[in-house]
Amino acid sequence: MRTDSPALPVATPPPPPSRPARWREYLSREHPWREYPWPVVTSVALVAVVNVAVLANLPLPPFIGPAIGFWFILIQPVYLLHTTGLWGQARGAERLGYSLAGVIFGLMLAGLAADLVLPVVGLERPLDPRPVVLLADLITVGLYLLRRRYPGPRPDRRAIAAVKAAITPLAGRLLAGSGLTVVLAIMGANRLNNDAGDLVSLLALALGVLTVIFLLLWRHEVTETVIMVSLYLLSLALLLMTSLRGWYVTGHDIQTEYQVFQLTQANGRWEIANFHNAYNACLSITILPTELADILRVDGPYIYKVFFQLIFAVCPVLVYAIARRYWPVATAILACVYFISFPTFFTDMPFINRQEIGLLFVAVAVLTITNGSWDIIRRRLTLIAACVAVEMSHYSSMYIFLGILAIAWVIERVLALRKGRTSAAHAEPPPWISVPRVIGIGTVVAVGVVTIGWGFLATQSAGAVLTDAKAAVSGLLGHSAAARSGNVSYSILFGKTATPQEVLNDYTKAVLKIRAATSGDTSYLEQPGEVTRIKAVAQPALPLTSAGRLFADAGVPVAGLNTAIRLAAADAEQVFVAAGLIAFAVARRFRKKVGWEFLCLGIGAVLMLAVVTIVPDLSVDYGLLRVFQEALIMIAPVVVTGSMAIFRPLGVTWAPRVAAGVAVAILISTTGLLPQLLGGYQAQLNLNNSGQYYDSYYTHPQEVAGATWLAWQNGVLPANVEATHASTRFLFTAPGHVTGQQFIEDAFPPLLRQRAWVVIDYSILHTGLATAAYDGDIIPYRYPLLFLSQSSNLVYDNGGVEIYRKGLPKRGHQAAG
Amino acid sequence: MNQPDEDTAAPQDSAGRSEAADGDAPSRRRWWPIAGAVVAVAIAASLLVPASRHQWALSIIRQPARYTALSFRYAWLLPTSNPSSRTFPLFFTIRNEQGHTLNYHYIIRQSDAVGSQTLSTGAQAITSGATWFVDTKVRPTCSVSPCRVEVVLPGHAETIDFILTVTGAVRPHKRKPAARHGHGHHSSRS
Repeated sequence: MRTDSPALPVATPPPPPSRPARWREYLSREHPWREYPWPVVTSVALVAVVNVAVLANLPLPPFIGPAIGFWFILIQPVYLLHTTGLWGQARGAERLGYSLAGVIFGLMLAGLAADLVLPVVGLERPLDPRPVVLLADLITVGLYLLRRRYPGPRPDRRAIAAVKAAITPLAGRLLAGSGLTVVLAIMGANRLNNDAGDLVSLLALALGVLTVIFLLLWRHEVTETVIMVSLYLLSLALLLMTSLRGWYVTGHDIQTEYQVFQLTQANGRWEIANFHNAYNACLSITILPTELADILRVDGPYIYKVFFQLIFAVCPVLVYAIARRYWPVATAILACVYFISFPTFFTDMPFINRQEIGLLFVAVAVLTITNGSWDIIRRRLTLIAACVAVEMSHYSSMYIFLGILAIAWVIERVLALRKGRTSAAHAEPPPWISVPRVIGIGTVVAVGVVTIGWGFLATQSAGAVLTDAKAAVSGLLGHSAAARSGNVSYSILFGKTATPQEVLNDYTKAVLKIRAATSGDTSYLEQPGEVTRIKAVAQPALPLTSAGRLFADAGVPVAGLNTAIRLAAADAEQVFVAAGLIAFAVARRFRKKVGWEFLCLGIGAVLMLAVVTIVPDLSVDYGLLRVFQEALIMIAPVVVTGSMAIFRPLGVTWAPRVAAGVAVAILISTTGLLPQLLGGYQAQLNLNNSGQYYDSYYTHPQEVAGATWLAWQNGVLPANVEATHASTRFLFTAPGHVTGQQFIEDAFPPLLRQRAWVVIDYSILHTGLATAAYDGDIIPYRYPLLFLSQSSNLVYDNGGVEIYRKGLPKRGHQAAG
Repeated sequence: MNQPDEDTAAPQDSAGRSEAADGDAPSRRRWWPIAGAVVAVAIAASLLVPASRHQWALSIIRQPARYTALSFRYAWLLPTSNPSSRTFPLFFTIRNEQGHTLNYHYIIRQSDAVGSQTLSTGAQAITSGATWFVDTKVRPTCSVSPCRVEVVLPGHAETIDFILTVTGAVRPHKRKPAARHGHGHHSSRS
């Protein structure tokens, strides 16, 4: 078409910005590599490197080799699963949680399948490095094909540019702060291990607290991805500060966890018959660490010390994601702060690796229950799968979670019936009554069947739960002494528990009973009466620092202040939970805000906590604080809501600020920052080379040398070693010595036997104190070393450990051979 | 699901980034390279000073524990009595984990309520990480029970010992007060 009007000036498009030519552009159009971007090529190359290194048993450089191995066995599969279309509308952290849990569960199941099938076809060691690397290849290829079949959102160039743009100066400061906290935490732990003081660890804690404060202040200025990455790094720093203490396996449960891991690795397969024990029934500490160790090829303890912590640090992020379903960012951050500032998180979880994996699956289960974008069948099936994973990872976490689910279901039914009657009389029933629920009777029964199937039938390792149930019922009916852990004293339901001396007296009585019953076939050392009258002593507190002395000079009772803050923190969290639940009961707008099932889960978690606190023996066998940590996955945002409700009279502006201040103050106190700055309180392991955990659980090189020497002596196995504190530190875990037939008895003075090898550890030699563990409490007492040295031979001494053995009559003289 | 939007971050774009985060886009991150370079130079400079290099080592690298281990080799076969003051073999090891070669001098002595007496001595230089396997013979001549035979390392706190029951009377004039030097095979292995 022609026109007479003058031609409009045409805006010429600007020339495309010049950029360097990409390597693929040099390839011919038909070249197959043109199709693949560089990340794919790099991935294939790294997979090849790991395969060659493992199959040919070639060493990879330190740090780089384990990093590539971790990427190969976990990060890449998680990325592949993360970028499938299986997760629907799920957002970043939630998607990551499902993917991580899926891959870990897949690794455990694949290992179990290999363990069962490969020996049938003649491969006796299915968990050796070569089968495992091929298994990981299969998983990777399978996930790659799954992603091709169900493609999901993948980070393209625009998304990467958006992520880069999201790192604003404020975001950069938050990420740098949290990243530096991790670095300082690692360096601080190393310095403490090298006896170089606590300064760097203190800096790490101070920086971590500052980062939390700025995270709260700048939450509007940064993206949620930045918030979640920061929370992950802060959680990781807290975990590593404890897990990296000591150059060997440090901690309580981790000692037996390491034994069953080494047993699986030494045998090249997992078999419950090798060690019929509840620990050995947990695939999270048998098959999973063996698979990781086969690929990463680091010292065994570092599988738990580093790589399990890298995995578990995702759990607080999932707590954030759960809270974010119904609450704003600030509440979700504070929920995460309550989760990580609970003492069990950083003082005990690094020593209970099976529970770390178990709690990760519990968090995923809660995410599944509350995921409204999935249909009900899918949510139920995923919940059951998550529960299978919890059961295979950690039996106790499953019992507690099953209890919570059952209570939540009962509450839901009762409330639905009440509501239904009321509504039928007056109006239309509310819509949630007719909506199908994830936590139905079918789901609860299915989860129960899973628990029974694995614990009682498959592994036959759950007998203890029946014993505990009997003891609990017997205690409730008053037929037996009702044992309760000292941790119950933190509960507002139970103020008073037995004193340390009373617990020690009970232990002595029980021990003397055992001694009397077994004296027919066991020769015990004859002991004067004063040796058996053992006195509990107080664990020495940290001396006051110069800052503490300043306060003390000003009339502030520093020691009392620290204790008061701790007790107030414990009480405050419980009051906040109660206030939060009351707020939901009273205020309709709160109820409407959260999902109905989530509310029932929260009430279920609180009631389960009450049950464990009130019913005798449960607080001893399951650990009240560990149950609280598990419950916090569901009730952490309720705690925050409760705190805000309590501070509501302060006004709309100040209530959230004070609530946030209280949460940060609890973090400052429980992590040990405040007690360490002032002194006058019990020393914490993450900051000191002293204190109860250090004395009980820290393994010194001299102790390892002593245990190695002991392994080569005659008459040691199966049960002829006695040691105090966490005596399982002296289990033989070297590949040539590890067995499931070893038992180390407490070297409590009345239990000292004639034929036993008695290990006197570093702490007794340096403090004179040993500890007795009874009814979930750890009681220090002065060890009668003089009695032992006067009555037995001192056969090994390296300054850090002494080993005694009573000379045996009629054995003749020493002889070569 | 029903994500709350009250008190959330500023409105976010499709990549999840807040609008507020865009405000100072042109000038952002300029100081990072400079700060990074300053930190790198500071770390490099600190590595040149021995004292700070040591601090870095304490923060990153495991420092070996220094100790000496003293032990009986066949601890389950140690005698419990020596009725006729017989000579019997004694096997023990000294392991040096002190980080450098040391001269170790051992003394085997007996002690009872009456007094103590040296039974055997020996000395040898042991390199770091090596073990000295001492094979010797001793003849305890205690007259009173209990009699303790101990191995001590002068200059070191470590000691090992065993207890003998004296079942027969030993005449004082038969006791040999002089020290007897250790004999037998001494070897050192890493």
